[in-house]
Amino acid sequence: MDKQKTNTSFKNTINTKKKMTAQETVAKAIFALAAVFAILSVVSIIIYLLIAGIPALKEIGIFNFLFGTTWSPSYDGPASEKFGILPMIVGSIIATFGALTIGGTLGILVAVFLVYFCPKKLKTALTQTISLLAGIPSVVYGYFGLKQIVPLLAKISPNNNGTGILAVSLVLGIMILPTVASLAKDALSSVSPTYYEGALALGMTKEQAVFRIMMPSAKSGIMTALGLGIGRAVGETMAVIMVAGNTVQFPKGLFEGFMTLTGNIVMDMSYAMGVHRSALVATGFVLLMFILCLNCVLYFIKNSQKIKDKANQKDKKNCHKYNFDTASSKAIVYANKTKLYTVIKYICFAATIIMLAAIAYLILFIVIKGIIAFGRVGVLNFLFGKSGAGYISLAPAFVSTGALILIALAIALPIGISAAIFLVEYSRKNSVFVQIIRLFTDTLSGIPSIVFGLFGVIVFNDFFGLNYSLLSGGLTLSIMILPTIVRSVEESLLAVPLMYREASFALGAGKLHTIAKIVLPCAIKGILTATILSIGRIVSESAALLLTAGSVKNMPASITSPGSSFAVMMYMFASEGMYMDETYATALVLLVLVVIINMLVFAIAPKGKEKKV
Amino acid sequence: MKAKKLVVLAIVCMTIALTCVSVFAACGNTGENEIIITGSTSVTPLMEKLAQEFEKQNSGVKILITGSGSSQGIADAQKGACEIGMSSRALKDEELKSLNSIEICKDGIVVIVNKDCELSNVTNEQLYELYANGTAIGSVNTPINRSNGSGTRDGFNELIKNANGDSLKDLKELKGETQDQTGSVIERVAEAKNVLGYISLGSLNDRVKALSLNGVAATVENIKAGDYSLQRPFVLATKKGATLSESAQKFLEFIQSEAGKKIISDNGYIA
Repeated sequence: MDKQKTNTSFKNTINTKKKMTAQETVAKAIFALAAVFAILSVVSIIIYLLIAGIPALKEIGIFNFLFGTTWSPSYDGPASEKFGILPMIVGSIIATFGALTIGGTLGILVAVFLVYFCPKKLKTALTQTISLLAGIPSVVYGYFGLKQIVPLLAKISPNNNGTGILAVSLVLGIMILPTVASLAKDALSSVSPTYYEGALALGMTKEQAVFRIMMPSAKSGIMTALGLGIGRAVGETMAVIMVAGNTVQFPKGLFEGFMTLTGNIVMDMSYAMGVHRSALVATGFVLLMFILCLNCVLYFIKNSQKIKDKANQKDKKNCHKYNFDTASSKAIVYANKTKLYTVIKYICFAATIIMLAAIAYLILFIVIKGIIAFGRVGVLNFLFGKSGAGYISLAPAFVSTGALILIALAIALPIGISAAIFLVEYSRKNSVFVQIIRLFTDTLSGIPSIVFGLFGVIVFNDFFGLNYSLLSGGLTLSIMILPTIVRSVEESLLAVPLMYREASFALGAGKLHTIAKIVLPCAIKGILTATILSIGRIVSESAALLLTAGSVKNMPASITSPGSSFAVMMYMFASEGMYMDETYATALVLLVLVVIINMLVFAIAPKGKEKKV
Repeated sequence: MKAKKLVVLAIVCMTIALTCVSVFAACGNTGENEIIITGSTSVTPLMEKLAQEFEKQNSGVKILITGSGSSQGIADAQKGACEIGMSSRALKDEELKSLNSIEICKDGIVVIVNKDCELSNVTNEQLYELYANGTAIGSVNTPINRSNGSGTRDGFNELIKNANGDSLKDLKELKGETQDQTGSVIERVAEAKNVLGYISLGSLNDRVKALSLNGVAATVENIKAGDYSLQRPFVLATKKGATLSESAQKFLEFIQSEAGKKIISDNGYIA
């Protein structure tokens, strides 16, 4: 608190005493513009989706659209067409609920184990494993589900059918586990250790202290973790369509095919015309609204916690007294329930084992099948061989992925860094403006990739006439990675000690000079981390790229040509049925890339402070 | 000085980004020697074979093929997003107003099951009952549909009728699952014993088992003789009034030439 005050007052003196030169004003304006970019993106995504969706809503009627139970586009005439999305809304909700039951529970249990019961030596390894799990592309999860989980479920299913809610819940559960686990871990670690010590001092066992004191104290953080897990599950597309069975019907059982909102969009979007297409965009809009509402709820949870914290800080004595009081009373009440908590502790341990087993299964599956497949298709031949009609090689994917990364970073990196500079160096901490920008940046990072895909199709592909092209895909990706860059660079700028700036100012340097020469070089690691995290996101992205950059297997001639990244290429191999070996080989390549990216982040990120997923 | 540089750099970066966007937006067309073809996943394997041969004969020409579904190919051709659209169904009257249609061959639709499935033959009525009401045929209880934009789906639904002559096409909802590509149907059938699907005859491979329909095997001979009823045309669509690029024109001529027809029939289609 004190530091902040000095910071602000110090800034004020600087601002009033020294008149800003023209150059500084221009720079500030540019940084401010970049900071507003996140707001612009969110607003334009909402507006464009709404504009493109309105024709369908007019034609169908909002009620019939939201609560209609039949989805049947027809080419015999608009009279017989029906677009009702209720079965898909229900499907999405049930799938998310299933994923949350499995992945959410496991995630929280793993986080508790990681923070309180894990031997110190294992902590880093376990954290790394979780972030590896978060980085694996959804196509890989989907294919793993299709090849391993679905056949396994078919054996225990009463109707011999493996696809459906259970399969989707399992796959999505594994996918949201890392999100929930890492955020819940952060929440638990940020609870003041004095609570824990106090509880122990009052005679609670270690387990009781964790479950009766620490967990309730981290409640809001854990809720946020679950909320972001929900967001990820609702928005997931590619993994879902591979195991859901994709029938538009109300899910009747665990093993009946069903459709989610996202699945419907990606399956129909490629060929839909007229009202049908507009109805799909409107579906995306419904999804977007859901995510926005979820973000609002999370925002309020976070804020109410902040207000509580402030109140606690104001009267520290009282706060501690209160906590110790509860602790002591609880210690007395629950003293004879020691066994229960010991059992829960072992459940946490078991959850971690289950997670590790799932990861081991997934990775071994991909590595073994991938190596065998590489043996059959030939490593060099498959990686760098001739490409084009009739030839299968990953060479185009190297070029396309590289081009997509370059385009996206060329746009998002300058904007993101400028925005972060504005937030940290030019605005007062926690001013309304900063809070609004942060809210929008968070919102942007929560929007599902399929919605970005729809936005890209509407704006870049159709409006600007880019059609399927790497440029269109790269532009879409640049908006997707922007929040990652802003948050990550912002963190690293904040970590630069205020003294450095003060010293620089004292030596007569201007603000811009200080930022360029002192602050940015100190924050270079953060910028690098942001870049690598963004690359990771681009490498594993598939749904948005499928809609915007197309899915050809050819070498792109220029950035206006269509092109497929590794993940899209893998999806195409998987869904063309004739390229099993190629699919496994591509999956292995993707896995290796993800591991490399994780290792780089680990190597670069400041020690003792793990990156958020 | 450094500070100035930073400002200049920021401005330059943004200008470059903006100009790039606007320039590419203004001239979003691809290279002269690229032919973009999109559409039916059933036609895609054949088109890739034809393109491979054509690229060999005409160096410098690149043919970009994206398989996504017949209706997509038709829509892309109308929008000008591709030069040639592939369709595995005949174009509708509505579509023929804005598109030229070239029929390149006929293709059978073959019903497939898992290799371990006990079935070897199905009848029209059995298929109708399975898709319309979910009535199991032996151990098969889950039918697989293609998604709505598929020409193969249109062909299948139109041709599968019950005893009263009602076709699947007239039903609002069909039972079972939906896959969006020929290959995902094969993939799904190869993995599960309880499902049944349909694909283009030319895409059939040994990972799945083909069933006879009403006692007639799905072979090129039977389709030629007219004994196997489940068949439809492969059609290429180009936009009316638009001038095709020279290479696209040449490619279309090549497909219709004797050499092209030989490739078509060599790959199991009926030219």
